[in-house]
Amino acid sequence: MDFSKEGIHCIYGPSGSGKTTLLNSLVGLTSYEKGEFVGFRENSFSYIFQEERLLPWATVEENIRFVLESLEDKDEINKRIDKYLSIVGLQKFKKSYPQELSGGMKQRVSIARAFAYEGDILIMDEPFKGLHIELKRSLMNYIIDYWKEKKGVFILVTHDIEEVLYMADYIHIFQGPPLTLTEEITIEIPQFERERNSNSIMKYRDILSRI
Amino acid sequence: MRSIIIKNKKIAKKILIFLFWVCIWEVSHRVIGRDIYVPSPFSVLVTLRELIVQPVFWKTIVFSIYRVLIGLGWSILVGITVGTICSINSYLYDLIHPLIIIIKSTPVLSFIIIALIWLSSSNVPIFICFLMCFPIIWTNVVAGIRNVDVKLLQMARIYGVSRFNIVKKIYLPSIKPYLTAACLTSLGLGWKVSVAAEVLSHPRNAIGSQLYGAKVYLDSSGVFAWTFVVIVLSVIFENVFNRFIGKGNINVK
Repeated sequence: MDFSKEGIHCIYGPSGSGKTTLLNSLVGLTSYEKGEFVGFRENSFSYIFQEERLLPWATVEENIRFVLESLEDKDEINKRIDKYLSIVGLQKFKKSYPQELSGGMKQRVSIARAFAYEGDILIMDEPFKGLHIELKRSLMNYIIDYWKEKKGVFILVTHDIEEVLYMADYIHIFQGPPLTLTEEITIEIPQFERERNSNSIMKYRDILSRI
Repeated sequence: MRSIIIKNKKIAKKILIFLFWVCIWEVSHRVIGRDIYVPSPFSVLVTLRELIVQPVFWKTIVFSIYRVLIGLGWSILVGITVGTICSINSYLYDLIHPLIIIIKSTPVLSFIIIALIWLSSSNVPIFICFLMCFPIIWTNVVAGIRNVDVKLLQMARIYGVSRFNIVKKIYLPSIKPYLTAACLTSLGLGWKVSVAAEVLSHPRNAIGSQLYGAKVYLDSSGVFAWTFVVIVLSVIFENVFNRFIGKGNINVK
């Protein structure tokens, strides 16, 4: 499995197949017995989790600042916080606490945090789970726009066909458990030019729905 | 304006509740009919008024407060230190845990009697206060550290957050509610056991010694008056502590 090409890579497979375990092994949260990840260890990761994992006792601003502490330039930290909160539309909620936010807003903070960290690789582990379709769409758009600006490798883990077809440049299809790579697909059409019911997208949808 | 009215209502409610229980007390006194068993609220108030004007009253209070604070202070310091180490090191936890169970299970009187042999009369209450409060602090610190949200720790690890910041921004705020609860419980308990130890060890300038003296002379009003003093001091300590925690509190709504 090769993630070297720039773009949004999607790890697609059924629930419980081991996708999250693969990600956890990649970022070093879980140990593994066989195989190796080549070329990742030098990279820093930005990570968008399934649940937002915000510090409940810290404000939105402090939550983002928490991951930027290693930066010495305080102005740069403030600039990034303002920039990415603005991108996700939460600049007015800078001083709010997570308990004061809705689920969708909390996930946007999590996305802003991942963006602000500017890791070499952005990893997203089913980040849109349980979200309303319109909110999901706007979050996916944020991420696509962010990729257009930053480029690099983004890895999205999902079992949702629509998320795959909306976002992915490269689809790595898995079955499992145990997690087994069965097929890899490249979608040449840029994200915002894709039409849901076009022949090519329908073709990919057929492939994915057979999994 | 509205907040002043609400505040006044709260104060009025507290006063009414206090007066209700004083009435119950007066009724009990009249029903029982013997001052030695239940003195009247009025006689206790008179005794209290006589005590307050004496310099030895204030000296007694200061010294008892001192003993409680020292005992509590040591229990918090040692409790946090040992609790933290035990959370990290399971061998040490296994070593210390039986000791905690023994301290919690042993009657405080047994420890007071043993301490009377080991220590001076003034140090017995300090030691007993420390010994009774330490297990509470220790238990809560261990629970607080063990219940830190693993998902937050994972997030911090992935984002390369330094250990210092992980301790400062995740562990400390996570442990705070546990530690606060332990300190509040220890405040009340510390007063009780310290005064109990003073009753048996008779140090100079001690509330417990005054209680003992009142008991010897069958001065029930004196016993009630000094008990009331202990209750008031305990409540004041708790309120001061709550305010202190409130000022330093991270504003989690």
